[in-house]
Amino acid sequence: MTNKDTYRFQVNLSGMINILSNHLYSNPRVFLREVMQNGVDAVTARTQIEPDHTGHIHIELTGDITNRTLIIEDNGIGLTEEDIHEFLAQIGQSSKRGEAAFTGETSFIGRFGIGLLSCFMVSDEIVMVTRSAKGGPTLEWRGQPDGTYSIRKLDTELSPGTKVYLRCKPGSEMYFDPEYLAEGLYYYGALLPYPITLQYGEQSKVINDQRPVWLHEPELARSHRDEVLDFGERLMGERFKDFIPLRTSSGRTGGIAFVLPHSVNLNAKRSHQVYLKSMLVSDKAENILPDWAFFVKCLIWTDELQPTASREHFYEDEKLQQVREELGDSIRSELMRMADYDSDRLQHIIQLHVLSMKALATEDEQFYRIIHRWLPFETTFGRRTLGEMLKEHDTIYFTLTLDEYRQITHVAAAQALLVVNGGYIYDAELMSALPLVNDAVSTNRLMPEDVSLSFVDLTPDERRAYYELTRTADTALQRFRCQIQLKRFKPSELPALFTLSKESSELRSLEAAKEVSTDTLSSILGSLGSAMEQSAYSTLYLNLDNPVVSKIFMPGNEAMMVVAVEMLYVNALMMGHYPMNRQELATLNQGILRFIELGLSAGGSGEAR
Amino acid sequence: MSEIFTDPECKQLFWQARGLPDGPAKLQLLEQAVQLADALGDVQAGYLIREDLVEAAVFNGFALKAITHFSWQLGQFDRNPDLYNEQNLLWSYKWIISNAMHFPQISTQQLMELLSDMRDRYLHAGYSERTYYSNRFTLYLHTGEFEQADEYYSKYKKMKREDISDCTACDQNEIVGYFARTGRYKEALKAAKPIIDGKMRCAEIPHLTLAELLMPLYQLGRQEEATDYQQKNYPMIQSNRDFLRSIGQHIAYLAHVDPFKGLELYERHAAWSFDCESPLDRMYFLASAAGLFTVLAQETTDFQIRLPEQYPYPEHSQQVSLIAEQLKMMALELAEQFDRRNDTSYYVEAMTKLAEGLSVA
Repeated sequence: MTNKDTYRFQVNLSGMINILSNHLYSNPRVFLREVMQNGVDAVTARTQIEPDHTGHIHIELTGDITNRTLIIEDNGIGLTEEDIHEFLAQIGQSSKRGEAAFTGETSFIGRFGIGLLSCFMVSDEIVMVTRSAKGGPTLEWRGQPDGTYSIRKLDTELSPGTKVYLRCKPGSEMYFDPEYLAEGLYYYGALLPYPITLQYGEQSKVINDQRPVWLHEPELARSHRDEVLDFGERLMGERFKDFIPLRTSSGRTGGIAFVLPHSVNLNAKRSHQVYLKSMLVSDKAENILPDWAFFVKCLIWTDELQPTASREHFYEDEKLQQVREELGDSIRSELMRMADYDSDRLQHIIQLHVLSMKALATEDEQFYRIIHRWLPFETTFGRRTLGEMLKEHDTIYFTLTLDEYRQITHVAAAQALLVVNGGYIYDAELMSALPLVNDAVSTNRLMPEDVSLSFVDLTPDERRAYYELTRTADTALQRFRCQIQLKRFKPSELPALFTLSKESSELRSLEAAKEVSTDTLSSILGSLGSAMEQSAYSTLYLNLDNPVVSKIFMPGNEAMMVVAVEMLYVNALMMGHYPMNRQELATLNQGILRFIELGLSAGGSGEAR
Repeated sequence: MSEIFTDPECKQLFWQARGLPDGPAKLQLLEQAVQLADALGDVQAGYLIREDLVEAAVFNGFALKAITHFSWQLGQFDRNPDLYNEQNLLWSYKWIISNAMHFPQISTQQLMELLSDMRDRYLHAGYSERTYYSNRFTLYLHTGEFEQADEYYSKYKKMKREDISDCTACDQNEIVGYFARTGRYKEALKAAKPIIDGKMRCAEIPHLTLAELLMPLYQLGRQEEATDYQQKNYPMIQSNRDFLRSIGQHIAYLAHVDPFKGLELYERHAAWSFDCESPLDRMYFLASAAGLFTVLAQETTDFQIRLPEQYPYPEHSQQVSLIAEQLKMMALELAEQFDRRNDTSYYVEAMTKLAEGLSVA
């Protein structure tokens, strides 16, 4: 990169303005931000030379509704004629210039020399009257949207500073409305350390009348609760009930994280309001907090980040990464502090924002350790917090998926077995990590087949009696790589429990895909599947306590038994949402026909003709 | 789009998944949605969900799921080509090809058939053979046949890129990998420059590139940069098993400069070396970890290693040299399968070196 003015572009200014208004800036209102920004930068530049100088920005609205002019005046550094030629006539050149302006840190926010151009979005002429603090005459600059400008010396001696005159262009009236201006000025400049005044007719008022102490020391926000909430409401248009002060170790970034009073989706838009060097740069900054912090909406002030050209986001650089982590730390440690001193408040936040809390807990072991007992999960006993579960259990079982949970929930509940449904986002992950944060507990993934361990075996006599029938049933399902186990278990309303290994489940979807795919890919799936076949098995537990099952296994029903068992099998597949292959579908169809036929003939025989 | 879903639960699962950040949780929801759509015989919904499912599987390290569901899609597409988006399908096809290379069970002939099927479909859709050639290049990189790789590299780099081509960052990263593997470290670093400078980036770049450069930098004595890259790169890759091989590269590097930190990484990611679906990534990780334990075995400290549940011998936890042997054995078992398939000895040689904690190339 070079500072030399070796190359010059010829820019079509009206095209440029179009680009600015339609693409770079999201809203024409930003012209207000840009002119304020120029004023703020000019004041900053002057205080660097005159440390005791007190800045002031004065905005005046004149004229009637058809002919409004906005005057923005600052008592900053002002411009000499050279300054004007250099800074105002060249896009990409800014008085905040030099290599550092593009890459490193400077005291100025505006960096692209294009700020003033945004005024053409609302005005057909920009007039600027300025006098440099370094001396020299008062100058008047007039810029036109076609890219031409003129300069003339004025005879009057102004005190150093700059005045910008914008005359409302047709269609832009709404931007010249006094209420709208007052609101906009506050919005952009609420945090400025010196007064902004707005004058309209006889009325003059200070826009940023209060500058709270906790802006310097966010920790103090705790003792100014109502003030903080009022401030948040005025700036963000929403009344919050709770907040967390934010501060980085350098103290150069601070803020208030307002806790959203309602639950939000994981994918909810995160829009934080960020002030850079006391000026609003963005009200939809997304990347300034860690991903898990989607339960807060933040007001943040910083002087250490670099905005992108549109000044609405920040460059994703190491600095931002560090700030993001430290702001995340502020939230995290506040939550952890609440766990010790204010657990009701924490529980309230967890109830509202459980997903956010779980997201953070999966990322951060220490956080998980501290808050785990308040996290709720769905269990066979209903919704329970880990704390409640840990009081009565030192081993907790969980399923990996919702489907596995559905398969066993009735059986597990009937055996009074506590099982956590791990099928929801983060839950299985948290359950397997639980022993790492609490060594008094162990967690085990429960496979549906594990539930069968509590099933009652048949007595030796029963086994003998049912031996042949069980074998026949088993043989019938062999072609599906499924074996039959005859047991007794609760609840008796449940005729069967179907379990399958992870490989079996994978092989099942692989084979389903193989049936419909192209030759090339079918052969590839065949190769991939062959390695899984040995470990891919499933089991159908039949419950002899169930009246239907016990009827099927009664002597005299042999003819019906095979088809009944086959139907129980395909029924189990359907209940578990498993993809069925052609063979299984055919079995289902034949079975249904068979039962219709049987029903009809049974009905027919009972009817008097 | 709403008319595609006949079942509200299925639709809800799908949209819920769409709203999630990329990760295993999203994949899991999509699988549930697909299962439901299939159970209901809702083919169009099943297809639409699989578009997302395949992508989520590819970028979260579930190669088998990706191939399975893509195969289903391709079959359905051929039945009703007018119903579905061909561009998306062809785009996914590239992922499937590179994922298929991760499985030694898939024969060279099957891979070639797959590649030519892809080529035919690309040509039919009006694209050039560029993607085909670039995949041949990748395939030869995989098999360690670098001369052939060279040939295809020079073929495809002359061709004009198309909207279906891999992004420039991914292309550039392949080249970095190519130089790194062939020991041309300076060239690797030179090729990596636009990526390091941030001029080329995408969802997986610079993540993959930075990991790839650790050993080259170490070999060239550029220790400081290597440390810097390691620290920057690890947070990018640590929570996604799709980067298991990159994590292996970190471990291999740390084995040389900070084996205890390397051990931390191993303990954190070891479970993936058992359940990661890609045998290729497992192999690289296992061999790198074996190398780490070979180095650790020279320490006089007492160890208590946190081994994953799936590790077959829990009693090894205090004997790092036994772990080194076990992991090496597991890595070489896979390397032999690859070499048998490729009819080369590239992987056994490379993995043996890695597992012995030697610097490769």
